Amino acid sequence: MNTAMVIARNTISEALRKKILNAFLMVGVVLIALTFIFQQFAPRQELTLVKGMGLGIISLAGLFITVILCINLVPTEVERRTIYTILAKPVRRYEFLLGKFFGALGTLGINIGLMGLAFVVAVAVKQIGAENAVSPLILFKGILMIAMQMLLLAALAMFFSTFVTPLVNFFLTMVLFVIGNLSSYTLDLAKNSQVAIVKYVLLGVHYVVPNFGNFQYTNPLLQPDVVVKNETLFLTQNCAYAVAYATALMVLAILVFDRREV
Amino acid sequence: MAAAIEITNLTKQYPVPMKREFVNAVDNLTLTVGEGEIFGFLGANGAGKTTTIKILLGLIYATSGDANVLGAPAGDIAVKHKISYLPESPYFYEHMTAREIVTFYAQLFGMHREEAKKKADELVDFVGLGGKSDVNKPVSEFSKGMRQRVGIAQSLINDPTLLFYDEPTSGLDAIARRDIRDLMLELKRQGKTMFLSSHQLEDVELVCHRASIIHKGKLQVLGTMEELLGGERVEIKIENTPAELAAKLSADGAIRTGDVLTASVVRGDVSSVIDAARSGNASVVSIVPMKRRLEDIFVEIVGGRLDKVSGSLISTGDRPLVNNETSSANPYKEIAK
Repeated sequence: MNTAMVIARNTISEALRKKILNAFLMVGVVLIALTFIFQQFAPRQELTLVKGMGLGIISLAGLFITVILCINLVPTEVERRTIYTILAKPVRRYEFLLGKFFGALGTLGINIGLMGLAFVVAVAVKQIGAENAVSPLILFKGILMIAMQMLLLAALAMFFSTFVTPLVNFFLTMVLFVIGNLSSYTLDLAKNSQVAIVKYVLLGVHYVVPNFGNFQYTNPLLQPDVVVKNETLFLTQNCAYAVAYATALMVLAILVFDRREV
Repeated sequence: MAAAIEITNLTKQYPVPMKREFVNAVDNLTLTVGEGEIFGFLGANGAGKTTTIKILLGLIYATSGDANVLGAPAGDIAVKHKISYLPESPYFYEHMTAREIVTFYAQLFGMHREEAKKKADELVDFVGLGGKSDVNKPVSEFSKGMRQRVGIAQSLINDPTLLFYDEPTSGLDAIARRDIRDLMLELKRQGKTMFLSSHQLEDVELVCHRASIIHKGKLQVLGTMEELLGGERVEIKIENTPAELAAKLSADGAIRTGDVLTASVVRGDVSSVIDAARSGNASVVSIVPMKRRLEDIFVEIVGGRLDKVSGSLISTGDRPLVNNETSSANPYKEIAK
């Protein structure tokens, strides 16, 4: 495991130097700062807008950072042949893959963390002098859900990266992300479908494709009248779901990568 | 001598795109490399050298046959603590300095950060990159020769018993090439085992104990350097050669320069020629074994084209073997047997 951590550290240090990832990070932070230009609304509406846009921007920037980072991690190592000198050392293939994955998670953690911090600070500034100000720290719950969603997405992209090209991986991951976000609809469609085969296909899609829609936590944060019955259970369940699903995907990725020729 | 590498009937096939056919990158290869031996593994581009090395390192898997390294199946993790690999044109993380790269690789051997840093300092100095101008440069600013030095440094981290060097001097200028050749000679002196794949035939001649040539995945020749380069003919210079002997040697292509006759004779006939010269009161000026060059053997076997300036193989394309694969057509096959 120590070897995986060495590879993870190296992956983070390399990823943080990638201009495209930093560009997304900068765009995210700048957009959060730009939410201050909405001055024409009532203060409460303005705050809702800032919160909604902030979470949306973090989610969108996180999505692109995750996909662009994770679809390239393994193929780039193979293409530029750095993997040869690594796997010629006493490094097991699963250690290499886990190192890359943990490195990706570390990079995502830093990126989402920085954007989240900017977001929380923006909301805190916006709330100065406001009545019924809510602690901006509760926004971290939304940021946590985005981070968990990205963890799952990262595992999905890493899994595909062990056997498809980055371009195919990009479209595959994005399509599954969209389908996964519509998981509640696919379930409803399956329940209401009269054709058996369509029903089972939709049910299959609902249960096999990761339910990215589960991590939506924007409404409870924006609208005080939307109450989650058991918030702790909701958050814990989603975290456990993301970790369990990501673990399963990484086990599959290891099995595929173990027999892959590099 | 115990075997460091044992390859038995090794075959690696790749599917031909868009066809239901397979091509043999390595074809029924069998060879053994002893411990402490510097073994030259030669072949044209696409002959199967790198594929063989990759199988031995466990990077790819053989279609059939066996490959053992230091007594364990290829790719064994315990064995990887004792081996090292320098790929052709090694690529490293561009943003890192030489020290950072070597430190990173040292940590992959389980060394703690401080220990790894110390080892990296030693090795970077050893390969000549410890100077002030180089030490803080990222690898992206390194020349090819400097990258190769970094590659050699990372290959020495674990004080390996067995080294796999794939084209270590390829594309280097004369000075860098000599430095790396000297380093290989030093490793030879230290008793390391080396599996050296190279196009630089002069380097192989100088460094290796034994060498083999493969073509289209098949072993063509295998022997000690003496066997490969020793030659069958000897050049004899005789002064005041008796008329009868001179006539005989001239018929075989001997050349007269003044009183000296220079003849090329088969090794087995040397004694009789000397006896004939002495009995005719002639004086034998010199007897010099006519050594072949590895390049000659290579060209004869592979039928390739060599860059006369660098001595490296340009390309053989799909040119057929000059000699067919029958043993009578290829005299070097005998050595392989």
